[in-house]
Amino acid sequence: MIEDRQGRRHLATPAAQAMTPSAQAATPAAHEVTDEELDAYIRARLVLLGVDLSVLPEQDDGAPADQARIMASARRFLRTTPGAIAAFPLDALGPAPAIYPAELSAWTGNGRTDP
Amino acid sequence: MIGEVNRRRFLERMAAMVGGAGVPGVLGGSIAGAGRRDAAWPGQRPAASVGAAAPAAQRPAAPRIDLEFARRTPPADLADCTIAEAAQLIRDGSASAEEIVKAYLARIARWEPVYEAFNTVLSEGALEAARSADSTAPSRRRPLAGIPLAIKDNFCTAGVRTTVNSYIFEDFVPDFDATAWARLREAGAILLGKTQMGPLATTAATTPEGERTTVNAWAPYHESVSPGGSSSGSATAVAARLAPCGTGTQTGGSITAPSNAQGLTGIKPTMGRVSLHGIVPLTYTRDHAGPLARDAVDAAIMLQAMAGPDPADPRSLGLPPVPDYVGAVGEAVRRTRNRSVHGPLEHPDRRRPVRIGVLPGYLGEAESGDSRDEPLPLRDRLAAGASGRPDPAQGASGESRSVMTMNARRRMLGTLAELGAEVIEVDFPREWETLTSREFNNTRLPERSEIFLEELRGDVRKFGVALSPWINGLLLPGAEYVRGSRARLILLKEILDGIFSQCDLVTQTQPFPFDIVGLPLIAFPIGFETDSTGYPRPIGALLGGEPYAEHHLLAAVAAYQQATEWHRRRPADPGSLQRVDGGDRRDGVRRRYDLQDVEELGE
Repeated sequence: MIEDRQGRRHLATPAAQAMTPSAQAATPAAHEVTDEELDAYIRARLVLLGVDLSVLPEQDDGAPADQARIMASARRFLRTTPGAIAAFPLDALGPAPAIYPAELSAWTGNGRTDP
Repeated sequence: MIGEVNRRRFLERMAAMVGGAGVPGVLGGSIAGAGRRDAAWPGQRPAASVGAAAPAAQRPAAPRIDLEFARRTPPADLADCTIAEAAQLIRDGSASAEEIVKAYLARIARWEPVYEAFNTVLSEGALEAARSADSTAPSRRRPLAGIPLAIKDNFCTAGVRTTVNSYIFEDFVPDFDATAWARLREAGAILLGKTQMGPLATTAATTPEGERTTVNAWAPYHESVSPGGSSSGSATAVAARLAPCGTGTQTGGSITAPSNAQGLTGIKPTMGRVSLHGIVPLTYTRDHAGPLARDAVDAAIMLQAMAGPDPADPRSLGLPPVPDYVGAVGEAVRRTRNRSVHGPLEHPDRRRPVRIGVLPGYLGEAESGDSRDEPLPLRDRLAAGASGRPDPAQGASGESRSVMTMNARRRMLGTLAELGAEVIEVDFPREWETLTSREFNNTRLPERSEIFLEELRGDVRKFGVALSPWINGLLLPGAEYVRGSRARLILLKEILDGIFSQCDLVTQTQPFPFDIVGLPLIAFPIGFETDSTGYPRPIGALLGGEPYAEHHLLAAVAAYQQATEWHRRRPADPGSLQRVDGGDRRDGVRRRYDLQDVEELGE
């Protein structure tokens, strides 16, 4: 069980209990994945979705976009973002994924604004 | 039974959302169904009926709103008026709506080639609407009758091209109005033009290929001075006196950043407070619509018209009633003017002095040098520069921008303390650094990719210089998206429990944290500096508030603006500006944003 600031107790999986907030950084393994492996991953994902980057020039710094810069950006993104989010520990019975936080505060009465 | 009724209402709302036609797939349909109207404008018809405005003769008599508190000697130039001043002039018969519109059109004709604030200017339509307003009996005039507005080019405007500065929408002419604009129009406002923006609401205004267009009104020839984005055109139009007020949208600072860059007062309301129906989305969970104004009074007037439930946007339903924003700023102005009678600046609802929280580092403590020194108490740090009156020497002493910013913040907080606010130190909530990091901020990216999936599958070249974030959004798996969305609730809880248990308003240095959780944020000018370009440039501040507490933010800033003059400063016209060395547009210099700029600077 994990206790929050108000003293309420929540169920947490053993793995979540073991993780601390400092585990937020992307996993070290993310930096060990090679560019070639990431490129294969990115291209496969885009092919599965029907997104075609080959209409862009391969490398042209004067163009608004080219394949080289798009792929470099995608590699940077994959090396940082998914791992950092995945490493954030969350209680299994914690907040449900409501995607509108502010409205939720009104709908559940948790907002502090006086009427 | 109750459940059945609610279910029926839910299904009706969903049907309203998907029922329209004739617009690209990323948009909902026409406004459908009448909505309950909260406080807003008494007597205003619901947004659902604004698509086909009733003839003036059939309308009920429009109520007058009390703007007497905002009365002052009107400026000599009509284009220098705030909304409140222009409305008073029209009511008094001192100026006609046509004269006011002509004043703005004259400035647009002269200076728009320099500012490039607009995609479309509706000269004839605006004049026709102004003459119509002038011919309406004064007793039937609506609150914004005759007020011309600059509308960001991602708000659908019936019969008027809405480009979003993107190839995807370059020929798009919607057949309906976005609800927020429909409400402004129903309140009497006139569409003066559609303003430039970052492509698909990403960066500062550029062409789809990344060539910068709109310039900062304070440094129109200097390419290194950003106008702020993505609501760049609206900000420049208002600052340069091409329009009295404008609209913007914000996903990651796009109202507050250009407001701060150009000396304006802009408010990003709580998610759901202003309907997003008919505004081309960047994300579903982070987009907000709001005004960019010359002061807090005008921001309140605009928000009063824009806010309220809309059956076509479920995010706007089931929320607390819309407060009386104009009444809140009026009360703050009256109190500030007569402090000896009314006492200190009060929280509008809690009847005690408003408490403003200051987060660590806001006043530059970390930069002050020897960390072994005990930091001075907050009160002593504010005392040095309490007066918010313009200081002619400010910015001329060779101080660095960061020092000038810290001094301006100190003066701003000192002024609010003089007005009776309690200024207190508060700590960052737990996990603040992590949950507001770039990585967690990226949780929004799959939403934009999903919205434009058909366009991504069709031809990625249509995204021009803004393509990278759309591709990256396709690469964040569902598990991480859900975890990021859950983490936002942790952040909200930490902000509510950790910050707003101690104070009513809180200083912010970046818009992202409050954008992530959908809380309200106001930007306003607190000083000026003169940097190496030689141009005076505004210094802005941000204050955040609790859910649906826009009236608290507006009241505090309205009080501050009664005691200061920063918001009254206007940039010099381009014709009088000296040439600067390097990066002067008159030399044919025209910078471009590239892919990485958009990724780094974008929403």
